[in-house]
Amino acid sequence: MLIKNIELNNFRQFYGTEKLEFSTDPKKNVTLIHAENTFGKTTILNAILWAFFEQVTSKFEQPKKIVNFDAQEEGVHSASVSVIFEFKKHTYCIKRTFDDREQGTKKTTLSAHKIVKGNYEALQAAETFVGSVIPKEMAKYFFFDGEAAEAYSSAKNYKDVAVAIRNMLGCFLAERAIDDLKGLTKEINSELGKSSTDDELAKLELELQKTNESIEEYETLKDSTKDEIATYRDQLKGLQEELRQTEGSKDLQRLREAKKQQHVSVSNDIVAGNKEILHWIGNDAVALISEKLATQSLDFIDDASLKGRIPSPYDEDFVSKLLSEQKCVCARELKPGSPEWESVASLLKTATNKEILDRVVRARAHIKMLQDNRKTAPDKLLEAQRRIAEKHGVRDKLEQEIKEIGDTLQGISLDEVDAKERSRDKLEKIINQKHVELGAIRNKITGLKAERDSTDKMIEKKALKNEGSKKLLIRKQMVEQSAAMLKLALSDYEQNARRDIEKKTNSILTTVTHNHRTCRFGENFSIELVKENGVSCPKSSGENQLLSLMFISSLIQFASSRMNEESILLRPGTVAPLILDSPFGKLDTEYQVDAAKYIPTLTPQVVLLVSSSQGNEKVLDAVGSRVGMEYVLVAEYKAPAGRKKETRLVRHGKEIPTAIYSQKNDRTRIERI
Amino acid sequence: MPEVTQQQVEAFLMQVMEIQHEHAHEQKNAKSKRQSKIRECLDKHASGGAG
Repeated sequence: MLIKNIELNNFRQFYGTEKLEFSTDPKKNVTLIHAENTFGKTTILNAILWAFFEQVTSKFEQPKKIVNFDAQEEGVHSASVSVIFEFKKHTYCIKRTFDDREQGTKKTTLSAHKIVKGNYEALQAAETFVGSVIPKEMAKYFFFDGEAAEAYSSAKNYKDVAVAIRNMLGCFLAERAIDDLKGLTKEINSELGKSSTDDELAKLELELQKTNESIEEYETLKDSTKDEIATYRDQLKGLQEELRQTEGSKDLQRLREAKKQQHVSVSNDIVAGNKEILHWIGNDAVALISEKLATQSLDFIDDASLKGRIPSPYDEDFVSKLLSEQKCVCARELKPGSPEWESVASLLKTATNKEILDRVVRARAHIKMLQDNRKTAPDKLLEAQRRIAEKHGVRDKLEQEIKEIGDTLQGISLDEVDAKERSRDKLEKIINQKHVELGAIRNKITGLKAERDSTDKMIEKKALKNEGSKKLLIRKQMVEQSAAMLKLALSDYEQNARRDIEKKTNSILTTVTHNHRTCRFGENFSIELVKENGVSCPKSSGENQLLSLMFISSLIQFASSRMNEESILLRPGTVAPLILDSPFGKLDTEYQVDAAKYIPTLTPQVVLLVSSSQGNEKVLDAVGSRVGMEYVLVAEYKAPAGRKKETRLVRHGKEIPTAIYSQKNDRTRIERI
Repeated sequence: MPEVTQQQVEAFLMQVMEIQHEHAHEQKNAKSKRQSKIRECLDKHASGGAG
């Protein structure tokens, strides 16, 4: 299918009639539509999806409000979207109309026409016709919201991946057949119970029905437990990776603490060293400064000693005894107050005593010590200084090391690491517990199935006695065998499709990315990014979007390769325009450029809806040679501009205002560039 | 009891799928003629074979 044009009538923010012609040139197969956020990109995508299937994406808010507000105020009650397209060499027009005056399902109608030489020939069963052009289940991968792309490769959405593969494989009819056959088995079982007058047979039938219901319940429980395990495993994988990134942080933290302790100790040593120098100044420096004084003092004491002046030649005790006995050593009487007594008493002024003698001894010893210290003082100072310098060196080194560890630990909260470790342990316990539960469920199912088989045999035995029951048994057997055959065939198709799509995704990845990572579908269809060594690695938001985009691309290639599928079990694939809303959202610029180069090669017609942040110069350059039609969505507002900034798009040397104020209506216009 | 043949099952299945294609655009859970057609088809194949 190739879309030639679409026409919007009072559809959402498009007031009146707006037309958009798409490029159908195979060499310039890209229609590029620029629009800032909220200007109508998503509306264009949804208008097409709505026209074909009355479906919208999750981003399309308030989906029931279809008619343009300004038009409604003017008395308009309906809105419509027409799409003219080529399909199998013919031209068709489909038109979906919404009328808010109608009730329920009548609000929306679809018409389809074949255009032959300008004449519109009505087609019956428009919905069926649309389904044959592009099956509804496949459409959402062609008309695609790029911003939601990330969802496909995020771990928890593996079910969407499996559904997407099955949808593109076209197995929904076979799946519905399996459901129908299951319903038929139930119906036959019930008939079997009623077919005989044998009460025991009816009882067995009831038992069988209950056992089957229990099996179904346990199967559902098994699936949900498996899902839970898968979800917990994904969480665990994420936590393990986060912890791997912080691996060694605890050792580093301990090392930093030890270094800090050493730093304190060395700083104390430096303080002690400085005190030692102060002490040296107080003691040893005195020896240096007072060297001359000490020598002179000692010389003086020694000289005075030699001359008998120090200490005094008279002993105080001796003189006092003479005075108290009032008798001189020469035996003359010393009468107090006499000149002789006075003469002897005057000797007391210079007489020595024990204390003076001690002082002289101490002074001599001190001076001697000063002289001794003088000899060792310089070395002591040098040694103290050397030790301090050494400690400074150690401290500087420690400070550097502490800083380096700090840099490494930056952004890592050890409390968080602890919390994550606790969560990891808890998750591991939960997973183990869930595995135990799963084992018990499986055992229960095995037991119930054995019970069912045994009941089945008993029913068979009893039913064979009755002709009517026998016929029903044969029908049941046919239905069950058919369902089993279908399931087996689908499983085979699915495995092959999965391998094929995985291969295609990898092939695209190789083209678009420069690293050597590959993609792998996990056991449960989760998309994993795998390193060269085969280990799956966590994906960034950008990588998730890239992988999803590549996955969608491979789905489209897969659908195209199945165009001529002839299996009765599967619906054939299709070729349809790829309409991508905001396809480059979270991609790195480098990936944006490569994706922009690659996307136009995917399908014969591509429509890219981009905002200025997505349609940057590099992206536009990359896609430029493939652009056949280019538009900008211009928003018009009734309100004056006020302080709002003017927005403009510059293309091909021309400036186009994209928001215009003080206009007649609030609406979006489509302007061709 | 008489066994159902592989051919019988395959023929029935083919017809079930044909019915699915005829009703391709119906909702999955929609109750329709589809189920009654399948039942008719089953009765036909079962009685034509072993029934």
